Amino acid sequence: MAARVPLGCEPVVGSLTPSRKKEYRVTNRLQEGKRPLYGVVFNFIDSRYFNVFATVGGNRVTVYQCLEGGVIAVLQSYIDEDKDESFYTVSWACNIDGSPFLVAGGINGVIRVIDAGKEKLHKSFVGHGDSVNEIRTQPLKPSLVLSASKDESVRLWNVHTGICILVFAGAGGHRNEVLSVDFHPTDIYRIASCGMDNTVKIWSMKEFWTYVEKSFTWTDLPSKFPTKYVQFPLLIASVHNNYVDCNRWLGDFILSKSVDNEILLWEPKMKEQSAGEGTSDVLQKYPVPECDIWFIKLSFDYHYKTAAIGNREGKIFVWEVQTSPPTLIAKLSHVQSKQPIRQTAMSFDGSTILSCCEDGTIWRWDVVATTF
Amino acid sequence: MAGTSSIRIGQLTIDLPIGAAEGTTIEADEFLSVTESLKQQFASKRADYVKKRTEENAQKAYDLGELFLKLSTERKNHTVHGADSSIDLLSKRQQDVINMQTGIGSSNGDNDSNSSEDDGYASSEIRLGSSIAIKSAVCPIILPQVERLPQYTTWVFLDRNQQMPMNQSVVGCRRIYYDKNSGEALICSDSEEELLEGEQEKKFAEYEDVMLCSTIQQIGLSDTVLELLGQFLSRKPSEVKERYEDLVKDKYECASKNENIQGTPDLFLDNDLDAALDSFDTLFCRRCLVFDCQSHGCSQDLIFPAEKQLPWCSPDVDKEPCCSNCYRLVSWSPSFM
Repeated sequence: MAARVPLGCEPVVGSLTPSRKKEYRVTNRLQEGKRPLYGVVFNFIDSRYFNVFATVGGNRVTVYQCLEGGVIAVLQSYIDEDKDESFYTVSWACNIDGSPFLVAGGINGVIRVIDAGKEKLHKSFVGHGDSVNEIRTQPLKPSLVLSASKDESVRLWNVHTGICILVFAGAGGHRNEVLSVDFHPTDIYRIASCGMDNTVKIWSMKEFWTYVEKSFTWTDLPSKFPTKYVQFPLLIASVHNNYVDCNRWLGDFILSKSVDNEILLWEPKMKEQSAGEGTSDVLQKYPVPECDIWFIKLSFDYHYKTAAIGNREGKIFVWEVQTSPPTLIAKLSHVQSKQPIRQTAMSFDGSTILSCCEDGTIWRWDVVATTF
Repeated sequence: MAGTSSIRIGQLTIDLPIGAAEGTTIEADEFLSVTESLKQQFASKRADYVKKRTEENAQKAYDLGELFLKLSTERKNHTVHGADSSIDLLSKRQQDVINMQTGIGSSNGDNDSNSSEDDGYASSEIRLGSSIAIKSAVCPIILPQVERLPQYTTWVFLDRNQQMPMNQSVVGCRRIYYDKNSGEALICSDSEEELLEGEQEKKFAEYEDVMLCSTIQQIGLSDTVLELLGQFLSRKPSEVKERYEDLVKDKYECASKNENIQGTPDLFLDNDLDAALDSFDTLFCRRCLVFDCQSHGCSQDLIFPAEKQLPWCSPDVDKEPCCSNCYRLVSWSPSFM
């Protein structure tokens, strides 16, 4: 249960009245099949592909490009032979030679690493004991990806060599499905994960970094690699009272979302000497109405100035995340958009917002006017 | 406000003690104004702190964006000049699309027209754009089926996963405990609906101490004030009084502390170790030999083993005679025997 917030340490709460500093309008809407689309993500790894995005839903991974005038073109399409596969998440990565990779996972628990530069499957990672809920790429070393799973573990993989380097689980690990995971943007050893046990856990790989390095030069069978277990996190934060289905690092702070219709911005304060002890100071709260079903994810623009989050009624809230008190820039809604929005993707400069929905549609919103 | 039995502070309703006299109501009003003013001060200080921290972090985050931009641009250059000169098919697809776009005449139909492409895509109809139809030969690439592992939850060998010896284990035995709240004997269960009492944070936060100190120093240390503070801080009045006495004992100046609040309680009075250890005394269950007993509760009375009573033995050696008739004045001599 989350501790009672002490007097004087309450978060600053944002208002739901939009500032309307930016206005968006719908410029396109695609119907990609009938099954729900669970993920949409722009490629921020390689600047050639800043306007290329991928979606996942059903047994399909599709790659598109955003063009002028609201146009969207299909570039590539990958289909899992198993019709019962349902992909839940996708992340862009790249090989050590810079070739763009797509890493997708879903209900089968198998992680597919697709070489989009060669248009073929690169590797499949078998190891998780249940579905994969999220995959994220390390922006400083995009051959490393993390996966969060229903089997209560988080795994670190090397997409180049196909090795499972670390498993974050055990005595201090999550006690229920892990729904989201993220790399710290600059501290290469630090990650954060959250899930259905209502906690956000911050982990360090510093102790095991030699294994990470070893994974790049391993020549033997991947199954012979000495995968290590990281059992104890640096900090366990109970800032939420319900499932936490999305967490993202924002500088040294964390922005995490729970199914209690709220996104919290909080600062983890760890004690270097004693791991496991530490506090979390909740600084700001961004309310998101009608966002009480689990598996709805937020996204940032490239410079972390704004965040876009959908809700179960098909609306999108665009928050400014670098200001205090929190400011809602815009609330996007369309009369035909009534289905839950599972994930949003913001383009490099935030001028385009994509959303993927439960009914298999992709909506494209483009910025109209910016008033100062 | 004669006749009322509760006051409101913001969203909090505080009940006045039963049988509150006229004087109490006046104290309560004073209490109200003092706490309101303190709350506003706290909120304003907190907002300033949050703003400062958010802006510092925002700068950090923005710089990160710049760093990643540099890396992602370098990545493009690295590939172009890479030793392996194989074509990047994703780039090629991008180029194909652009070629097709520029190849088509610029006559635009009305914005409402949608042309659906059904070029033998794998089962889906995808409409492109709202006015331009782009025909692209996108063949879906099949990802061959992979054998999956049987479902499992990640399991690590831990002490708690080891089996207990049968004579120590309660597995298979029905454990029954008496629940004071409902007044009935219940079977132990793992239901998540149980509320765990006695696990709340007991430590006083910095702002709570300031509130406590300031209020008592301004209004006085009366039972009413303690009761009101207790309700406001969700603690027992006795705890509030104890805390105030601790703070005063350590010669702690609330006024100067008020100026020093930065928003993050960085340093504060360390709890006395003995006091902390004493607090564990009532948590230990003598029957189950654990500290967080689910069956018997956490607030058990302290039992001190009865001290062995020694036979009464007075140290006669140094005692003074008590009066003129005291036996000590009689000198002992063998002739009395």
